Amino acid sequence: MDTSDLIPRLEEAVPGAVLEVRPFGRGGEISVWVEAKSIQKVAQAIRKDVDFSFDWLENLSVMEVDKALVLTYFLRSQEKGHTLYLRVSIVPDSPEAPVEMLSVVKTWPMAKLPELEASDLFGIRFVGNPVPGSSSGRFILPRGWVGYPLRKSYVFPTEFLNIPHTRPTGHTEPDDYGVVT
Amino acid sequence: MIIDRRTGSRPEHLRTDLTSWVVGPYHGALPGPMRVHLKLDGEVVVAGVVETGFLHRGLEKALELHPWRSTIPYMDHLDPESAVFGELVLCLAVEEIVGIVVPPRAQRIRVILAELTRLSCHLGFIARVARAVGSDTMLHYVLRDREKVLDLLELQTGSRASLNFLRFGGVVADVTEGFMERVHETVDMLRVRLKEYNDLFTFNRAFVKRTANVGIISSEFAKHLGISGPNARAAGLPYDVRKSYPYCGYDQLDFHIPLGKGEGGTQGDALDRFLLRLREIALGIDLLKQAVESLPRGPFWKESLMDNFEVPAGEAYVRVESPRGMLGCHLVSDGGKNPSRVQFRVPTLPLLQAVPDLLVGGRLEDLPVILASLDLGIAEADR
Amino acid sequence: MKPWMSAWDGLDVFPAGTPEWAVAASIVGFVYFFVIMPGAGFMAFLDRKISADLQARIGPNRVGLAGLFQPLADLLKLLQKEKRIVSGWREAFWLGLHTMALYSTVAVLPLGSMFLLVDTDMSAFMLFWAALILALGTMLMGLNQGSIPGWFGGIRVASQALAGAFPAMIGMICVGLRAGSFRWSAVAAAQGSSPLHWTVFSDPFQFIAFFVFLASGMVLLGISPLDGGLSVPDIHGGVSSHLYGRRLSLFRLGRFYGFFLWSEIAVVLFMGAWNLPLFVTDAIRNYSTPVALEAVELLVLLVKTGLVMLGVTWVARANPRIRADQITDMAWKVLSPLSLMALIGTTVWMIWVNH
Repeated sequence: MDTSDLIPRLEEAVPGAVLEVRPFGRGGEISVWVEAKSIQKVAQAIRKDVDFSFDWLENLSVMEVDKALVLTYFLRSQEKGHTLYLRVSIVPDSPEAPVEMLSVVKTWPMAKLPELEASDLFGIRFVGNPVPGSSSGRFILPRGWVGYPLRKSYVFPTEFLNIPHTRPTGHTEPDDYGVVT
Repeated sequence: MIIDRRTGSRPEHLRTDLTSWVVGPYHGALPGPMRVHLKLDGEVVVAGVVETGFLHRGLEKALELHPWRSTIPYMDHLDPESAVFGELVLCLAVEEIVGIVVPPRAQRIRVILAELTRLSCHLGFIARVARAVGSDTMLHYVLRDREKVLDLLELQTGSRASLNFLRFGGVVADVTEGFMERVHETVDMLRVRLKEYNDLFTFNRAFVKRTANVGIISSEFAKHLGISGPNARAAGLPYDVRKSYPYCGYDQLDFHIPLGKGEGGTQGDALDRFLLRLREIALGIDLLKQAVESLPRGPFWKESLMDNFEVPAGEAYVRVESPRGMLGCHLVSDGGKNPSRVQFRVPTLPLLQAVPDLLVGGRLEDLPVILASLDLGIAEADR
Repeated sequence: MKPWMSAWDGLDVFPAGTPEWAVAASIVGFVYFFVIMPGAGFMAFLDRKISADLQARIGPNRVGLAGLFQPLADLLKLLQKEKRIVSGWREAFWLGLHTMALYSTVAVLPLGSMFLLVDTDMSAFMLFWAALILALGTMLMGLNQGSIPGWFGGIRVASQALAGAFPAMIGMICVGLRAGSFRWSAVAAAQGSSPLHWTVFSDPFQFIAFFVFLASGMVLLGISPLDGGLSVPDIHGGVSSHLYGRRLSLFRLGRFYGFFLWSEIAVVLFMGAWNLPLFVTDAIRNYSTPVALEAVELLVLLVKTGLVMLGVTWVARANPRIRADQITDMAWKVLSPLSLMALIGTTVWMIWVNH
C-alpha cells in the first residue's frame, strides 16, 4: 500500500483539509499540504487509520518562506514503516508578530518539546500544548529575550540584561569562508 | 523549558513533608548543563521538572549566517562527543539536494569514522554509568581504552574531538598509512577488554543491584514518546536507521541489531540499556572489521566539486543513526550562498521528555544512574 | 594506680609518683601523634597507590620517595586553604565535637599487652560505643551544614549506624563468649599467635561472626563501598560536601580513624591480637626491655590492621558504591540474622563440641 492511497481517505475523513500534494525533495516521498485550522482533525485521522497509523511524529520542522511560516510534520508509522510529510502554512500579521497554531500534542505526545522549541525560536503559540507557561514563557532562550531568532526579520540585539553586545560593523559582508574581517 | 507532571497528583497540604531540591545546572549527576527541580519524599522522588536551555548556542541560526562550505566545522558542535555524526548528517542532506553520488571509498571511510566515534561514545557512556554508580575502577579502565579509539581518530583526521573531516561529496583525505592495521589491533584489543568488563563489572552483583529495575522504559512508553536509538532498542523496539533507511553503504555490511533482553528482571531498565551498549560495542567491532577488510579502491572525493560549489534550491530530510539515537536533518536551500534553513531532529529531546516519568518513584541515588543510562546529549538538545 | 590502669605497671617509663591524669594524657597524646596521625598518612598513601595500581593509573609520585609524603603535602595545603581563622562558639563546638569523637576512643584503644590504658570487663563495649559516637559526630556534621546534600548525607550516616550497630554488637558477643570476658587482655589471652589459634578459625560460627562483625562495622562507620552518606554522584560528597581547609582535614582524619579503629578491633577480637609466638616473647623479655616487647607487639598489630584495611580497600575498588537503602537492607535482613545464627551456633559449639 502506497502513501498516496491515503489522500482519498483523508479527503473523506476531513473534507476540504487537503490543499495540495507535492513531491518532497528528490527522494520520491510526498508532502501533503493541509489547512492549518484542521490540523488536529487530520492528525487524528491519519493516526487512527488502520492501514497506515502514523503514530510517530519523528520531527517537527519550521521554516520561513516568503513571510509565511511553514510547519513540516515528519511522520512515520512504527509498525508498517510508511513515512508521510504533512505541511501547514501560517502567516503572521507582521514579520515580528507572534502567530497562533493548533497543537498536535493530543495525537502525538512527542510533539511537546519540538512545539515549545518552535514557539521560542519562531514565535508560534501552540494552543493546546499542556505545559504551563508554554504560550508565554521561554523554552531554550533566556527569560526576557526579545524577538524570535530564527525568523528572517530578526535583528540581533545590542544588549541583553544590560550586557552590551556588539557585532563587527563596517564589513558586513563575510568572505567566501564566512569570515568577517 | 518546564516539564512538570504529577506535582498535582499529591495532596498539597502534605507539602511540608516534601523536600525541594534543585539539582544543577552544574552537578556531577548531570550529563551536561541542565536543571532538575526535584520534590523528594524522604529519599524517594515524587516529582521532577527538567529545565534545559543552558547550552543554547543558536547553532541553527549560525548555520544560516554562513556560506555552505564553512558550515561543516559548526556541525562538530552539534554533539561534541559524537562530532562526526553532525557532519555526516549535513553532508548527506547537501548531497541529496545537489544530487552528488559519493564515491564508495569515501562512503566506507565515513562508515569507519562513524563506527569509531560510536565506539568512543559508547565507551564514554560506560564511563559515565561507572561514575554514576561510584565505580571508579571501571571508569578508569574504560577511559583508558577510549583513548585508544581517539588515537585512531587522531591518526586519520588529525584531531581527537572536532574532526572537521567530512566534505560535501567525500572526505578530506585518503586513509592514512598504517591506519587499517591500527584499527584491526585496536578492535581486537577492545574485544578482549569487553570480556574483562563483563567479568569485572557487568556480572558484579552490586552493579546489577544498582541498575536493574531502575528507570524502566517499556516498549509502549518508548513508542509513546518517540524514543529511538539504543534506549528504544533496549526496550525491545527493533528500529535502527542503519537498517530501515540505509545510508553510506550500510546495506552492504552484514550485521544484526541487538535488542534488550531484560536480564535484570525488566526489559528496558538501566541495566538493559547498559548491556545493550556493550553489545553495540561488539557490533561496532564487527562492523569495523568488515568495513576495513572490504575498503573499495577509488577516489575519496568527488573531484568535480572543487570550484564554484553551489547548492540549487530544494530541500531534503535525511536520517542517520547516531550513538544516542536517530539524528535527522531537514535542510532547505533557496539557491543562495548560505543555507536557508537547517533543522535537526535530535534523539535527546524525547528522552528529556521522558526523564520526569523515569525519576518519579526512584530514589535520589538512582538519579545519576537513570540520567547516565539515558545517555543524554545536552549539547544537541539545546543546540 | 587505679585497677583499670594496671596493665601499665609492666611498662616502666614514667617516674614513680607521676599523677594518673598526666600518665593518661601523655599516653593519649602519644597514641594520637605517633600512632594514629602517621598511620593515617601512611595508609592514605598506600590506599592511593594501590588503588592507582588497580585502576591503571600512576597515583601520587612527586612528593618525597615515590610520593610517600603526598598526604603531608595535602594536609599542609588544606590548612592553608583557611580563608580566615574562624573563632566563636560554633567553631569551638565543632572542634569540640571532633575532639570528643576522636580522643574518647583513643583512650580505650588496645595497642599491646602493656599498652592498654583502660582494661576493664567493658573495654570492648566502650570502643563499640565510641564508634557510635563517631557516627553521631559525622551525622551532626552533615546536618549542621544547612545544605540539602549535607542533610541527606547526615541522615544516611545515621540510618547506617543504626542498622550496623546490632549485628556488630552480636558479633562481638560471640568473641566474649569464647574468651569469657570483654577485657582486652582476656580476649588476647584466649588466642594464640598462629592463625590456627585465632578466634576466627576456632569454629565455623566464629568465622561467620568475624565476617558479620567486619561487614557491619563498615556499615556502621560508612566505609567505602558502603558509604552512602558520602556518595559523590548524587549528593556530591554528602557530609563532606561543604567542608574545606581545617575542617576537611579533620574530617578526613576522622574517617580514617573510624576505619582504622574498626579494623584494629577486628584484629584484636578475631585475628590473634598482638600475640607473638611464645619463644619470641620470652626472648625479648629475657634479653631486652618491656618497652621493646611492647614495640614489637604494636608493630605486629598495626601490620595486621593495615592488611585488613587494604583487603577492604581492594573490595571497595572492585565494586560500585552500594545504595544506602540496600546497605541498611543488608544489615537488617542479612547481617542481623547471620549474627544471631553465629551467636547460637557458638554457644552450642562451646557446650557440645569443646566439652
